[in-house]
Amino acid sequence: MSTSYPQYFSTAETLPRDQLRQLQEVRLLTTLARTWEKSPLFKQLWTDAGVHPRDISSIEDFEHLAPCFDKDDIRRYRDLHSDPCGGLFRLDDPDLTTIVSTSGTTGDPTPLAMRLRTGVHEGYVRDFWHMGMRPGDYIAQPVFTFRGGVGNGFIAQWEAGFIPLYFSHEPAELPRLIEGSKRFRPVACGLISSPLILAFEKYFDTADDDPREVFSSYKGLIYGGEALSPRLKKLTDDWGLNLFETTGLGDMMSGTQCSAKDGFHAYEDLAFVECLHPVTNEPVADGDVGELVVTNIHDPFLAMVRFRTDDLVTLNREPCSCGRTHLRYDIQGRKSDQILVQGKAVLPKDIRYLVEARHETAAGLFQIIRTGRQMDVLAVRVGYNPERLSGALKLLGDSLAEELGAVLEIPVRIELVVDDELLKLGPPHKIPRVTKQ
Amino acid sequence: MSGDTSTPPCLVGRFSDGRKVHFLPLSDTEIERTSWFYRRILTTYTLPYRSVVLVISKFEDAALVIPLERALVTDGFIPCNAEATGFDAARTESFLRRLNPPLVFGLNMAVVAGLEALGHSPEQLLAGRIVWVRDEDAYRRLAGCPGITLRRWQEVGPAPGIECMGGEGLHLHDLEWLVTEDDGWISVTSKLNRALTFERQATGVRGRVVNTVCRCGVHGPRVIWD
Repeated sequence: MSTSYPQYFSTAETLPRDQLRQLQEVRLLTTLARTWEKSPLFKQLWTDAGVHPRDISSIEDFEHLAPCFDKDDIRRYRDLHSDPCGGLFRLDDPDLTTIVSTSGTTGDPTPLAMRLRTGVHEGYVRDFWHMGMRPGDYIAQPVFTFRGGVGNGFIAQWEAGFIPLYFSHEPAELPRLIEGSKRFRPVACGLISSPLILAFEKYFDTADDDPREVFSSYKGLIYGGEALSPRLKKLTDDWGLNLFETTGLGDMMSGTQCSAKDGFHAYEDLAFVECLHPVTNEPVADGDVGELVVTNIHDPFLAMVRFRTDDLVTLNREPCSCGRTHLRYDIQGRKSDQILVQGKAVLPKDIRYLVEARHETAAGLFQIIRTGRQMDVLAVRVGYNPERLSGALKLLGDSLAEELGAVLEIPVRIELVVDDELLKLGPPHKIPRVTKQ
Repeated sequence: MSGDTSTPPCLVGRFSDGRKVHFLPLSDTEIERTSWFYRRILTTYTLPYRSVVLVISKFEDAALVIPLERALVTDGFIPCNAEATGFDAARTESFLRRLNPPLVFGLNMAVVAGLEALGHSPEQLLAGRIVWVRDEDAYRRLAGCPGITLRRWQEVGPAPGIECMGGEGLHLHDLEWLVTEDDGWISVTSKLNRALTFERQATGVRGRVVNTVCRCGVHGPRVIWD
């Protein structure tokens, strides 16, 4: 008897929106009561705002009364109270099983509490299922440990019957990743990033392996770390890869593209998502740019209630062609990544594609050096490949500065360093696009 | 390696024979058995219940680490994780400073060097803790540092090895592995059903096998690293 699997991993993925909202409300009210008990920071923020969970009996009440908070509130609480958990949870909570953490790109990593598994794990299993993973299929997992240990996601995948192949997320693992792809024929890949794609490109330049053959068993690969650039998109298209981009949904969840590739799906049965004006806190209309504000309504430990993510996004609640009813969002940039040069706003994405278009700097590696809130000259550190350098280094820098300056209409100063040195400055899956030094 | 058995794998990790790295399919039963083995070794210590435990590793270390994470959670400890790389040494430092874990698993020389490059003293950061190291360079670097209880946690081919409180060699799971020594090189043979069975599997580990009674009370072979 052959097994007929459902099209969607969870029936929640296609709930009619009115039912989805009912589910959100039930989960939200439960979350508020629980978080009041478990999170000292939440209790303080709500007390300071003169609000108690018992004042909230609907989503509308929540939208009107609940205070927002951000990462600085966590850091402030941590430092003021000498609380390593930033008030998000208590180390002596008997229900706590694991501490996970944020990437730490902007400072000390923020510890987050976990009980056995997180909403991130739930979401990714749905994404893998959507790509075509089914019980008994292998999945390549070149990931890292800080999101819940080596067992990160394992329990959710084990429940679904997937068999993970474990790799570290680093170029040194490529030969094993290729060997494992040939031997086990994985159907999906847990995470690929710009540094890994660049390493693959270098590998396939000299190896006998045909990338199309190596990757032929993959129905989908999750790509994350930063937006996929046109050059890397074309490169991976040529290898026959079907990349599904993923991005954070605050520090608690992830949003991933579906096969329609038209925005990141936020699983709204796991998180309540808002798009608010960064200054007035008023909701902005779907399609308009605002700050992504997220509330966990699923994870019993995650005290993220109206968490300001710093991400500037647009929301889309129109039905998606993939059949899911959950909203999609598009990232426009990070509030904190926005640089003002002579009054003109610049985001990293404004620079990346220009850098990547050059033969010598095609890896698209660069950092904006932010010396102050407002600057007179845009300083950019750009990575180059010495093997592709045909003239003097200074000429390359001058010409890049001229081109960027002409397009952005601001003065630009370029500092050139070799690609490999720049890659050392970041975590395995990305480099910080804005730095202070 | 002698080949696959009927036990289906639930994950695929890796192991080294000293010359080459191989894939290591593991079944859930094997993970559970190894988890019990770790729990038995951890009972030889007097450990503060519900304390935070820092586990430093890479994702490729799944076969070694997932059973440990399961053992720690089962016994009421609270694991947190950092990457076993120089780059992520900042996370190790942050967790040591802020969460003050009395137990640290998996420190290696890359992390020690990373801590030093950031201007930290590994001796000061690790003082007062039990530290299980993964490589000999880290062991030699920290041996004799006052206040650090230094132990080994290393792979012997496909077999996880861990030192008990006595610190007199790596315990290997007696029910799981037959451990032999040939001209100073350690081999292992699997004794129970596995996703991949082993027959006199070379481990690339040079050492001695000791079968004397360990003062910790855990029965079974120990490997003394040369």
